[in-house]
Amino acid sequence: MSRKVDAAVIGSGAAGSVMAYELARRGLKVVVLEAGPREDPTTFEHNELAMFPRVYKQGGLQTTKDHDAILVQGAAVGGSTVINNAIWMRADLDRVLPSWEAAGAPVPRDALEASYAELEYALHVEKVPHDLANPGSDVFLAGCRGAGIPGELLDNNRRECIGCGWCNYGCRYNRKTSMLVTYVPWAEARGTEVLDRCEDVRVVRRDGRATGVTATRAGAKLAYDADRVVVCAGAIGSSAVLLASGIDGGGTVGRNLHCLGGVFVTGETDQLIDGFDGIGLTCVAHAGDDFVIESYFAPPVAFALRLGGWFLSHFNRASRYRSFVDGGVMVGTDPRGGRVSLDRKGRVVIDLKLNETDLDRLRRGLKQLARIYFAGGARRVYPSTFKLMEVTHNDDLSLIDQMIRRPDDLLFGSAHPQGGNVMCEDPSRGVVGPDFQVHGIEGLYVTDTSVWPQNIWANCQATAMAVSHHAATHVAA
Amino acid sequence: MDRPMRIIGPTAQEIVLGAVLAAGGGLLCAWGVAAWIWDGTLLPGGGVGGGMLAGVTVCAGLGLLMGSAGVRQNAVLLGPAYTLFAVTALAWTVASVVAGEIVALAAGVAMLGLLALVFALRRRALRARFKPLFLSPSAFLTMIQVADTMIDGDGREAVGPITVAKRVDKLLHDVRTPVRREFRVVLLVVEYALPLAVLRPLPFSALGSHLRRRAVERLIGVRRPGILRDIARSLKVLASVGYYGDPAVQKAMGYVPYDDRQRSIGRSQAPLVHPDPFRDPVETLEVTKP
Repeated sequence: MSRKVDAAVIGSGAAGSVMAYELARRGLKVVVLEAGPREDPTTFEHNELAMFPRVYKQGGLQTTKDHDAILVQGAAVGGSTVINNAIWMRADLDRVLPSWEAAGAPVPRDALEASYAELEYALHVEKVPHDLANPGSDVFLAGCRGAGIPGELLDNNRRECIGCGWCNYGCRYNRKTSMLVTYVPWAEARGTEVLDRCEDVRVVRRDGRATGVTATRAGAKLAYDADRVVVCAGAIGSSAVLLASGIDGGGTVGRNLHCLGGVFVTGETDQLIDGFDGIGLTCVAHAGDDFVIESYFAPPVAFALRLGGWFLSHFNRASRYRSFVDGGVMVGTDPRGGRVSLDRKGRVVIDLKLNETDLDRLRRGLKQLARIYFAGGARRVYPSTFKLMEVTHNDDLSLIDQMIRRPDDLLFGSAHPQGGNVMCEDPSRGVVGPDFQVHGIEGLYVTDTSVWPQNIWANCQATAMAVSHHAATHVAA
Repeated sequence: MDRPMRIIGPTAQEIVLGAVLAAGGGLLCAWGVAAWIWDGTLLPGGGVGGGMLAGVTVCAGLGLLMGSAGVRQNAVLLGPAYTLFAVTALAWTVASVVAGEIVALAAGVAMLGLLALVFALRRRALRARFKPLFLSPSAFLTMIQVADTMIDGDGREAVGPITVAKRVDKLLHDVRTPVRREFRVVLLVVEYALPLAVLRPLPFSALGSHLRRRAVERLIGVRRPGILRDIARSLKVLASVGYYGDPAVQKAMGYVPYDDRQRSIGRSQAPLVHPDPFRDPVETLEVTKP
């Protein structure tokens, strides 16, 4: 027996929650279907192994088909906003919007800026307070000054943060204004029904029109008739939902997957830094358009996993945990090499390869970050590579070119996958049109990061929310 | 630091297994000697082949008998002894069928029965000892040796390899990812194929620590990217997750839990509630129109 709603939203992350709220705000009856569980933030633990299975997609072990890249996404009500670093970075619209328009995806700048502004107000966006930033941030900023590269504290969406440094495992104090504690309950207060642990979610169609959704929840079948279906399951997830529903857009669904991803770089100092004490992701260095450099620090397991070296050398290095500063270099990968598909058993297969341009950018970014660390006082710098690479001086930076020749030489990861259902006015080249409606299927929309045809070269959540916020006006119309 | 032989004492299953091995080993030795003495009566066929079968039977029995003195400590001896016993049992059965010898056939079938009993007991003993949630008992043993190999602290390890393996097993049990099946395959490959890299046709978990280390070093040193690197990377991931996820290790690294930091003093940890800022009458921004 189907229930009737005005809109069914698939996914409750940055895009889905904002979409649900905006539709409910306009008086629509909305249901949200989320694959992950609804977690009680007060039960979040400062324990990485306890939290990986609870709030990370595939327990944090989602990889590409060739295992050369790890793709980190959240899997809970609130999506990746539950596990992200609460960094609020507007995309450089002067760069992004023309590239989207050239790809056949015009998005109005005024509308997007207004969306950013409203969300920033709602989510308490402000500069990361210096006293809450992890102490490695000072080394990073001093290094930026020393290397002549502009660097600054980032904006973040937190309120009254207490600086525990466990943002990536869910904020148990509700200081991070994730969707779980903001837009989700706000949407519910306006009548939205949010269902967690929904499996096998499918879009139902009839006569070229989306008519609802079906899913399985706790072994029971769910069915909703809906005038609009909005897919917001994120890059990878949204393509998977469409493909599993038999929607391939003439071969366009799943194509053009790309990401903002990169490599961690660890700098060792002679002092005790205690980088774990404070907000992890804090600063950005404006070192050009070819890569993004940010400072970061992680709790012990995540730190040790990507720390270079093997056996005793790894052990000894990890035991100097308190003396490290940490950061990362990210590049926007080429969309042409990426694809999401389903295998014969319906399992998601992710293809995402770095090409030579991506690798070259990463190498240059790694050198730049090493320069920053040395200028900040680091004695040794370790990019996260398969074989240990120890750089001890700016003169040794050529090691990076010598040792990083293939993607496999790096430990590459991304928390910012994009594309897969890209927007394009031409139905033969894109999945959705500029109104976010899937070509040829009335009433079916995709509004998350999967519609971005080109990389935004910034942490995704702000733009994911802003684009979905803007798209809500099309969906509600 | 856990000590494999002490902290987790012998289980009832291990005690029974030890007794069965001792009794079975003794019987095999006796049977082998008897068959050699009365080769015309007990051995299927005779001659050199029969003599070899009797000799192999005695060797298998001796292996089981000596191994029974400590089913944990003597794992390196018991591994080949089990294999030899399996070969012996099969040889007796097949040879007696070919020769049409009823007594020898009965002995072969009895050996196969004993073999099945030993394997069942061994499996139950491993399961009872470690209670793995996701890994098979033998994969769990491999994981212990992987942890012992990868986490090399020169004696400064804060926890031992069994604790690491238990943590890895729990994590793999809790996560839902296709990758965990691949980890199982990785452990299987490491157990039975990786030792060939150091020219030892023995299970990884039966190798000494230096050989295990050398085998993994060979894996890491492979120049061509691809599956071998993936395996090496998997070993590092498994061992690191299991080791560095332990609170005792984190403390040894210098990590300080939030509640023990200076920063936490005087700060309220009560969860905040975030009211809807656009709820009437505080609707402050106009909704954007396309």
